[in-house]
Amino acid sequence: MPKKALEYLTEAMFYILMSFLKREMCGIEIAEFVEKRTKGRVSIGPGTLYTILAKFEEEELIKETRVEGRKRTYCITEKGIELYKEEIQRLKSCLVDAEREGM
Amino acid sequence: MGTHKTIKKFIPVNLYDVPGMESWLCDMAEKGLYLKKFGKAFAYFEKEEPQHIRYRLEPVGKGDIVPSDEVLEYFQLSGWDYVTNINRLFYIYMAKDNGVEEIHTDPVAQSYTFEILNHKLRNSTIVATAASLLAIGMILSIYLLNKQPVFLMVESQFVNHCIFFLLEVFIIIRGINDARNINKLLKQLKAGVPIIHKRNYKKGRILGISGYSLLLLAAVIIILLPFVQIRKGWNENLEEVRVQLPVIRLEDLEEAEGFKYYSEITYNGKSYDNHVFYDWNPVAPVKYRITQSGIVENMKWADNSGVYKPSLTIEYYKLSIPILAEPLMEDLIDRYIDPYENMTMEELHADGIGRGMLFTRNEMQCLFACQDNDVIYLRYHGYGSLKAKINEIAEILN
Repeated sequence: MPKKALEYLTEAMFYILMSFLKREMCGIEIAEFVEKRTKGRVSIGPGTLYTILAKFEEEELIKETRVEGRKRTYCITEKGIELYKEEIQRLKSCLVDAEREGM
Repeated sequence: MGTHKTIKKFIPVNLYDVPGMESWLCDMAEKGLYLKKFGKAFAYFEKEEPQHIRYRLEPVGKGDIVPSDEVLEYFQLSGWDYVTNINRLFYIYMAKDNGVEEIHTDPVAQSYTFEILNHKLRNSTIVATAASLLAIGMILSIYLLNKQPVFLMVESQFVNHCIFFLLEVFIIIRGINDARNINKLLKQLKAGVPIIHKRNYKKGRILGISGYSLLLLAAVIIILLPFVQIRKGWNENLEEVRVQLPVIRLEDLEEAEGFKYYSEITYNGKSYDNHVFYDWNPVAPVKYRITQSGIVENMKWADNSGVYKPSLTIEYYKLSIPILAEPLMEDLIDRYIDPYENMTMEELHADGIGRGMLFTRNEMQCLFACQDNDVIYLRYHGYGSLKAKINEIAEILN
């Protein structure tokens, strides 16, 4: 099956990518990070979490660093950081546009 | 914990109807039936206390029939227990607690789980459709490329071919429909629209049960039909047959003194040149082949080729579809009349005969006639006249 690149980052994808900025993470730590960072506004179901991790790994946005028992840990790649920055730029542009437009 | 009795239930929902399958499993749990295993047509449950349980289907990824330990553990921590898989297509999870977060909270991410399934299903549908079209082509070619297609219908396994044809059409429609459903779901998720997990699957239930019943019936017919045909068919010496036969007696055609029936081909007490063969099939429920052979010892053929031994063979068909009578007569003419024999052709007209044709050459006469759903073919070798028996033939056909 031909690989299909991510067309855009959803909110869940954005926060999962954000979770890797400071350190390596495993699945459960990512979920806790997102919960804490968004104060529970964004919750990530277990299926969503592992689907996004698999997709990110396939897209080389993250890579597996170690496996301890059942726990697999990942870190962000250069490509992941680039995409994260692009997404921040896109979100900033959205905010600027919104502020210009006013209420 | 006591041993629970396993209860087998027919799966009334299409395997690719994700919300329908989830709803059915939830309804079963509310009746106290907890899913344990999935088969091809049946699911296996254990009876416990009725409870509201959510079931969710997750497409199987790249071939693992059980999710990885890490995934299983995290799903369990999140309140989702792995139950089983459906034919290696979907993992099934269940959550007893209503407050547990959904497995998927991002429809776009969920769409990735359907991409592999969608791709596999599209490819398998293309292959299955191509194979089915090939099979349909082969079945059709049996008849379309044959010079005597109606004759073949009454002589071959036409009903079985029809059933195979319909099965192949069913496979194509079903495959395309499944592939379309999954593709539609994938597009919906990609557009950010989540799956609505509650769906009325009962509408499709009657269709599903009818579909399986018809498949079962088709299989039974395909298996049993050849045995029924063998069981219903019989053959007997002409003089021993007591049922009324569609026959013109050879002795009535012969005017020569000293005519008597005579058999050259005998085996195990059966005289195959004065014999009745009866066959049955759904297209021609009555099918006779009657052979008669005689001798006039004090008479010779006009060309002095030997003792005069007239013979008459009759083929009679009562068809279940009257519209096939005339085409069958055409096929019989095509089959038995060699255009290079230069036989004289004559159209016959008589009350009770829809269409009649007589072909003659020297002492050989071939008469074909049909009326409503009856067709008869007589091949006579002798000096009598088949044409003179046209009224008797009309009586046979009526």
